[in-house]
Amino acid sequence: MLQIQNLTRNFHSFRVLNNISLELNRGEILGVLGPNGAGKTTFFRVLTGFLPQDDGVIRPTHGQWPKIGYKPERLHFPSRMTARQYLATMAAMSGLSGQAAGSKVQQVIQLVGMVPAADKRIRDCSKGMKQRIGLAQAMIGDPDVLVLDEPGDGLDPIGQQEMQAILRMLREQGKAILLSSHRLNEVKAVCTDIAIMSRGEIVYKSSIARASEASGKTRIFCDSDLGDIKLLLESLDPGIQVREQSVELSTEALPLRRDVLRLLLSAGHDVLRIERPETTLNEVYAKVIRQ
Amino acid sequence: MMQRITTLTSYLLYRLFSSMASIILLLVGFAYYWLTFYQRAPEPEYFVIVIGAFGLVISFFSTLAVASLSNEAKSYPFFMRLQSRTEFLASILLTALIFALLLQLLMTAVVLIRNGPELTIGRAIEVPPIWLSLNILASVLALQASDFVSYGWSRVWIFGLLAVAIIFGDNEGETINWIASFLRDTGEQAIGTSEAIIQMSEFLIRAADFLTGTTMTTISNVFGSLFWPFRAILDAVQTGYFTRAQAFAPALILLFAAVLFLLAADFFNSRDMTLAED
Repeated sequence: MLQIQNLTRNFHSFRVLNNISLELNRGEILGVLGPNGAGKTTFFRVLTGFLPQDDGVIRPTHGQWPKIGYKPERLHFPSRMTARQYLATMAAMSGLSGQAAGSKVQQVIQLVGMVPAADKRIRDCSKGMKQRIGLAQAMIGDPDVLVLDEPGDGLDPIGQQEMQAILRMLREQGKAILLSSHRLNEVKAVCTDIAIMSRGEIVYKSSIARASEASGKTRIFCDSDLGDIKLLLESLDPGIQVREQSVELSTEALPLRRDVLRLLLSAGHDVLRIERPETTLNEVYAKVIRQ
Repeated sequence: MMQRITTLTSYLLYRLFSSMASIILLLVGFAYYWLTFYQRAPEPEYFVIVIGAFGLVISFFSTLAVASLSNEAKSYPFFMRLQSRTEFLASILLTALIFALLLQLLMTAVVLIRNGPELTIGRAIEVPPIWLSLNILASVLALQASDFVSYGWSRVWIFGLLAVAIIFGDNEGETINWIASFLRDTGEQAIGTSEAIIQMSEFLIRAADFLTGTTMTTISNVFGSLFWPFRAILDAVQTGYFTRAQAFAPALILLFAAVLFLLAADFFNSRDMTLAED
């Protein structure tokens, strides 16, 4: 839907975004990760037109510009208005009027699960409810692309699960979603792709499936403490890590695994199970950022 | 576009009426009324000029207030739905003008009911174009002064040029004469033997001569012509009727306002939209 090429933005002499290139497609949820100050919010603001870029292009992939909905990181609302009044104003701003506006407002209120709070003043709503209003206003007007800065911030675990379900549903409807988050399990649960930003650059980009591919490690779980053969196990290979009741091999090599199993069984330890763990997003993130 | 501007204007009016700024402006209105009308029954020309000046001042300050309210992070979702940022400027202008006009009409009603002048229909018809054109110009000038719209040093340039135009466009030449005599006095009193001081002294006297010379009169006439519409309106109100030439004055003021609005829109479209987060 959107193609971003070599996007660059400076604040005075400081380069905040450096040659960012991305493509956002229909039915894709791209999670943008990165430490604080990496440039995520600036990237979103350039993308949504609040800040002009110094260089690079943002263009629609196919002819017509998609409609973009935006939820900023920090939410500010006219606090005396009720959520329904606020959303009705946003519906009117999006060109809806009369019955169409009313039914659209009711639809998003139900979708984001804020029916009980819809007629409360916004200032009396909880932080989680305000997040839902933020998402609801971004969805009014049926945007093709949603840019969500920290959508799960301030939500309780149930609220987070509901938010993830909404995002998955929007993806199934063919929306393209760009979101930033520091919650890696949230990103793993909803995103199809990730991009990691550091110092204004995208330093890693991959699909979630590829990022979570088998780590190449083998983990063997036993029923008893392995302290008695720790040194013997470690002498087999420098890549072996012995924990209380498990052994982690840094490779999947069969001969080494056989040697370890033989040693465990001969020492009287029962083997419960053998795993090939996936790389966690935490590991990918930490590795990329440390580099 | 009209729906977006109307919705945004209604929202900004709601924000303005529920803010402290509207109460302060209302109090300013009461104070102004008390100072200018409370103790006297006004003549028609006094009524037209004084309430016109009130509208001008209130338009300026209410535009600043609305621009300040718009410069908050609450406005992000509104910006996302605009086709052009100029729609936001138009809404600010409309909001401020509606508010100023309401206060102006309130004052007009109180003055007319309490101790008002007897306005003929002909005279009453002349009033709206005068007041409206001045209100619009004041609002557009306030846009240029606001943090929300200004870009870089834009307001310094705009108001600096305005100050230069006021000083050099002074038909009586009082300010220019004062500057010239100041320069001449300083030049003549510069005592010293060094070449630098002598050169400085000669430069100041030459500058004083230039300010009182014929070239300056031409420059003064050029700048002075910019203020012709205001003088024309003032003369017409005082004499009680508009000549054909004077009747164009409100239109010229609107032309100035249009040019300033286009400039404001250009600045506004170029600036970073980083809004204040409270």
